[in-house]
Amino acid sequence: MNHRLLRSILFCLNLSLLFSSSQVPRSTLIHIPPESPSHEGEPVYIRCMVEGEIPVNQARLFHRTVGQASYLEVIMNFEAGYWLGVIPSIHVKSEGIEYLLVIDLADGSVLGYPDEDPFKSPFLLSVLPEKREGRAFIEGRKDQGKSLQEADILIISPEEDQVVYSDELLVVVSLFNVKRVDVSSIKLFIDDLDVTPQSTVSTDIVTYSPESIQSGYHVAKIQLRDVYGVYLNPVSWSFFVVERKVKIVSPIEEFSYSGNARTDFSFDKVGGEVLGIAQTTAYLKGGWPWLSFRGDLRLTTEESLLKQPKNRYSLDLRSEQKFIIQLGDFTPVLSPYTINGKRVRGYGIDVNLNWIRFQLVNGELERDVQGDPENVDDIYQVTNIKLDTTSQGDLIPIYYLDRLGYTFRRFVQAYRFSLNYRNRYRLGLNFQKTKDEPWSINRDVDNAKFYIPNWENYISIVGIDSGIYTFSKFKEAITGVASYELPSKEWGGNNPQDNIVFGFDMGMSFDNQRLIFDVAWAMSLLNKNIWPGTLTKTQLDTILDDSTDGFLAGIYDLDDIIEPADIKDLLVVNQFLVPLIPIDPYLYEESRFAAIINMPSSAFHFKMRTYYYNNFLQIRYSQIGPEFYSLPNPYFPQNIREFNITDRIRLLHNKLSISLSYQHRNNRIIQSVKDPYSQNTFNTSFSLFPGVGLPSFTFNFQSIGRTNNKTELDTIEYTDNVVYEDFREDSRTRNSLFSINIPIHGQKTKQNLSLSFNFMAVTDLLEDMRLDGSSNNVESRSYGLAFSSRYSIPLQTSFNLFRYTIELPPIVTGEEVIENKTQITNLMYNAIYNLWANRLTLRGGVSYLTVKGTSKYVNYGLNGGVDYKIKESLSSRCSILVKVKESGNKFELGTFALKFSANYVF
Amino acid sequence: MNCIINNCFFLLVTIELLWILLFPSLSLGREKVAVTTKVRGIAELKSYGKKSFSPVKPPTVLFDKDNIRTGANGFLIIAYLDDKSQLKIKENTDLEIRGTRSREGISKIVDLTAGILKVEIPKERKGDFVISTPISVASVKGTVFYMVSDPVIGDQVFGIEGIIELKNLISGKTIQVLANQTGTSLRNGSLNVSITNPSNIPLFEGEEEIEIKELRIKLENIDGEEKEIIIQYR
Repeated sequence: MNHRLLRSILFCLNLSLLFSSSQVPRSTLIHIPPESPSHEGEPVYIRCMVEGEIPVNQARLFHRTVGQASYLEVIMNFEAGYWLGVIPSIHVKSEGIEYLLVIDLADGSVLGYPDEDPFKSPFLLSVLPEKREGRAFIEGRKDQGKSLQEADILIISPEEDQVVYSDELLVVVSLFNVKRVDVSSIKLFIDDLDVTPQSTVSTDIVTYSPESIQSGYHVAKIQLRDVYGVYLNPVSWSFFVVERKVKIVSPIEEFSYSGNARTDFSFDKVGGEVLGIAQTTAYLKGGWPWLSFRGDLRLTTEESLLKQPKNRYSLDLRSEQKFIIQLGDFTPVLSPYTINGKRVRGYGIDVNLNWIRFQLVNGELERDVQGDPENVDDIYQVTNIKLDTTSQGDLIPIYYLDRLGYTFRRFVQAYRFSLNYRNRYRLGLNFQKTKDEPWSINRDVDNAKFYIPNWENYISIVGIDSGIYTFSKFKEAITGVASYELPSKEWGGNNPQDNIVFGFDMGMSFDNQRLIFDVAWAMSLLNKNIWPGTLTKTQLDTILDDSTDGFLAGIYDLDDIIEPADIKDLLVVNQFLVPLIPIDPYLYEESRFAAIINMPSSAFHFKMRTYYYNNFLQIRYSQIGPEFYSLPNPYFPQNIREFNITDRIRLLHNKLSISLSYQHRNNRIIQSVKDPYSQNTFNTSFSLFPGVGLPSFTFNFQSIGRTNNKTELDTIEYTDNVVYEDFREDSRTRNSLFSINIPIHGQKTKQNLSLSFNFMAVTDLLEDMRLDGSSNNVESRSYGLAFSSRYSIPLQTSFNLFRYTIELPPIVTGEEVIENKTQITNLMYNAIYNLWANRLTLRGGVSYLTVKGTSKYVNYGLNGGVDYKIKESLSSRCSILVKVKESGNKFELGTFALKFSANYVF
Repeated sequence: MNCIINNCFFLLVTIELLWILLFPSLSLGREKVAVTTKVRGIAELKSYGKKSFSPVKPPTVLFDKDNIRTGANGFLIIAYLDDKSQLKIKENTDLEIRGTRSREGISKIVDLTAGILKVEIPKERKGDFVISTPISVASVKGTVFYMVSDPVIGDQVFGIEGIIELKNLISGKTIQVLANQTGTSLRNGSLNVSITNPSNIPLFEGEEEIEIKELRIKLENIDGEEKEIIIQYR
């Protein structure tokens, strides 16, 4: 049986629970797919459970939009027995989401989902087009470095720099010349304050008429997108407001501030594991119209010097959007191939004069972690005991120790310089340097515990007694008896690394942004071990070949190469540098173009986007070499070549949306790759939204073909037998989704019924050729029903039914064939009732979950909660969840979760 | 009898459907063409199809065929949605706003029964702009001008910028009014142009912007270096 493929399929289909029965792992990750189809612009909640005795250190969710190269990281929270990660709405796009889970366990092991190479083969989640009702403008999408289409917005009142009386301000914006505006996306801001709710908004005109406005300088901004989801360039303009009687405002009077403080406490007990977390977050923002600040603070009981920081401290100073300084923890985004959303503790500067922009990031990417001294053998390990002769000629035992369990402090510096000519031509240059600090880790940790083995197993002369020692006790114990060797560098843990990435990106747009070209390229140099320091030119001569010929690898004249010591501050050059030779010299002889394009340490993409005849057509080609490393972007997949073409069409006055896409992916970037895979994905989506109040339908179909074109079995020859391994891969996956949404509006009630059906089948096309004739075919089906009601009284209820069935190849043990089918059924009923003019909210619900098949158990759940708004600025929330597990007529408390939070706004 | 009623019913339905299909703009709602941005004193609006006037407040969206009138102390500013052309309407003025949407913008017609207007049309104008009075028609090419219309005596056009083509509907004559010229179109059919007497240009008391005055104080040090303090005030 092809174990590799089967394991991959099993995990892809969330059956690690079943898999655990055969592999008997100490912990198992159970991924719970989202229960209802995800819609564009809505957050997606990803849950998973970890079953086992080993505590979880950290659970992380990595996600990206289909077509993107790098992942964004979300720390999952433990809530009510589940690990929950939320993919923010801003990242939920109709292209679909790829995500994966990584669970770090306390014993240092890691669980992943999907099991096989999750970063290269993440789980694909289809995303339906945006719901037509209640759509919201997605803040942030507009500023993701993309040049937006210019909107022909006409500012009627007040005009730029106009002076108006404070009681006569009238903001009037005409959208007459903007075609196909999505009214629900329109947002009007005055000094970054969203005044849309107080405005009158229509497809033609937006008006805002406050009774009064504070005197001074003000900035108005309007944001919108069209019905195709295209975000148009926001328009900002400024004006002055004066009182009818002039009053000189002092800076103190002009100063304003606001803030929020929130504290959360959660207590979870799942099985034998208890987790209690307290967290306090607060922010304070304020300033003057010309200079503002915002400080954020997060303190959590999860903070520990044994891990990367969980607390957050940040301060943001900005003068409009032209000059920004960020201090403390912040998440800079410079370019897709350099730092792109990873947290940094340090400072950042952004000077943006529209046509020219400079960004700087400098700070700590990872702090130094010495290791856990209480965890035996985490920091030190005895690797050997040998005898050595002292100066007096006596033989004494020498204990050889190694230093482990550490994480180096890692610093990053990143720079970006960009030019922008009227959003038509853009050019950006990027440079980034990341380096570990070897000296950040202490060689001696006196309280670190480690195990001393019995000397009799190594030497013939008496050493010290075996047992657990601290490092200081160990040094005392060996005094006069033995000696020890502990190197000051080149330890057994991680090696310190040095990395630089440089590149550019450029873009052009034509025909009023209807035709856009984007190109980005970057190249990396990574030294995987800087312990040995920098080599000299002479040493370089014999790195790749033995002849001292004055040439590197017999090709590059060393006289033409700069002395490595001269650039040691920029990059440490030694034998661990990847790549030592960026371009394949032999391929370069054959084809210079191919050699440059396929440099294993480079990454690039080319994208063309057009918008004509109601069609969004996007063609993207990208390639990331197998040796491209960007340390601040650790989840960047490598060794991927991808071609993607997507067309989205809107018909029948935008009521019908059709999306077609094709993607080809392989890893044939370098010629030496063995058994390259090839994956073709076709995706089709039809959505019909006849109008508000009418039923809507969606159908998605996806077909994935994956093969490695391998035709032969691998053989492993032992002395007495030959073992065949089947690594051939040729599978076809079909995934279809149908959903219908029916609004039912009565006189006193508003109800909504959603039905969804999902079918997925993986077919092993080599089934007939497998050695043992086994089948790796897998089928899964899921049905979902959601019925929500909103009544004339302040009551809301929801009923959810979800059934998931998966059928795997039967398990064959000797003569016995066991059916391998699992069915999960989940029913939930929840209600919310508001009292005292919404000051008090009561929540409650029941749930029932049954699992049939290889595992059999039932969960009965009860939840409740209270939200109480003590006063307008102070509110609190309390919730409780209890789940009882029935397994084999035995009842036990499965989950108990208690949460409390208080929120104060000022 | 039933058969006749049924036939009549179907005939009516068919006519109604044809009407909707052939003349959608007539059957469906009227189009938005402009918005009021400032009102002082008495200014009233009568929407098309309604019988009475009601006070207008900014911002009120104006539709095709809406009727506007100002009282003795009234003043009103209207901006068009396509190119921000502005109509500043003085007291005792009565007019109807008409506009037809097209790909180029809004074709604007102001039926001025009587009163005084100031028209400001940006250089990037979209669509035609015509002011029609019982006596004259003024076609505008992109300009600023004042128009005074008296249904008994006639019309006066004071050109400030650009060109206005003025036609006397009684005589059929047409002239061009340039900057600093005054075109006069009278009920007797006469039409002529003369140099504008600035004192004849109507004053729009309510339209002035808030003026920021400036006070500059020059300072000089012993080396002869000059610095200037600028104080802006109202």
